[in-house]
Amino acid sequence: MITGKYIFWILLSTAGVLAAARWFHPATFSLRTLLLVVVAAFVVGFFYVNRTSQ
Amino acid sequence: MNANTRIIYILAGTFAVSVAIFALSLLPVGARSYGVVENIDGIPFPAIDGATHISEKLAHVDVYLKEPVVFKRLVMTVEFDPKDLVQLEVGVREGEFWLSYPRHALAVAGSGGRQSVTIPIQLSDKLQDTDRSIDVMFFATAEGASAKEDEGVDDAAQWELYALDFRTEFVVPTASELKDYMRSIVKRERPL
Repeated sequence: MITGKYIFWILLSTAGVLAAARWFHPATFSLRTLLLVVVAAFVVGFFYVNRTSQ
Repeated sequence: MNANTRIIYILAGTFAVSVAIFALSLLPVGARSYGVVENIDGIPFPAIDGATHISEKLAHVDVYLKEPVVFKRLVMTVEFDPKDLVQLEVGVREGEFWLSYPRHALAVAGSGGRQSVTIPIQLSDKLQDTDRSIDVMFFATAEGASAKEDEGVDDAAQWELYALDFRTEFVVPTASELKDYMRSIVKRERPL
């Protein structure tokens, strides 16, 4: 089963892929898209930590 | 679930999400804004009574895209009067060299008078700047013009630009255009 932990790591590594793609070719992904993915990863991570710490 | 399976899940998920985000970024189409029409030194041409008076061989304008160039074409509508020009052409920059513009004819000798021309240009193999803009250049050839790109005070080119309209449309690129796009990413091509 895909848990919050997996979604967090998937989103975080996706942010890494997008950042690398932007380094190679800045027009491929916008900075806004990259920031959205990073924020989404940390939102998921925050809820995962909150849920598992209860 | 063992550690290897977890890593495979995360890698597969990362690949799927990255591809999905890239596919979504290709969806926007429609009208695109553009900057001022200027000469090759960045000085804007004067606008008089609703027409931009262009008095040099080369005239440049930036078109601001909201998407990557791949899978896209630019539909450009130009309303202009070529006056006494021998030839008027337009192109979108495709490489790092500052004059790498494949040209498309807008008007030839004897076709003076106010007119509107629409030209579709494939974008997949074109050069995109870091702010996602593309460079559009007009090439005016006057009677007796030399091969120099800047003729200074001897430049006899004169024409009027009344209106510009730029739209992007979805189009499937050819294999060579796709190869050029991939090469531009790998080689980290930038406008010089």
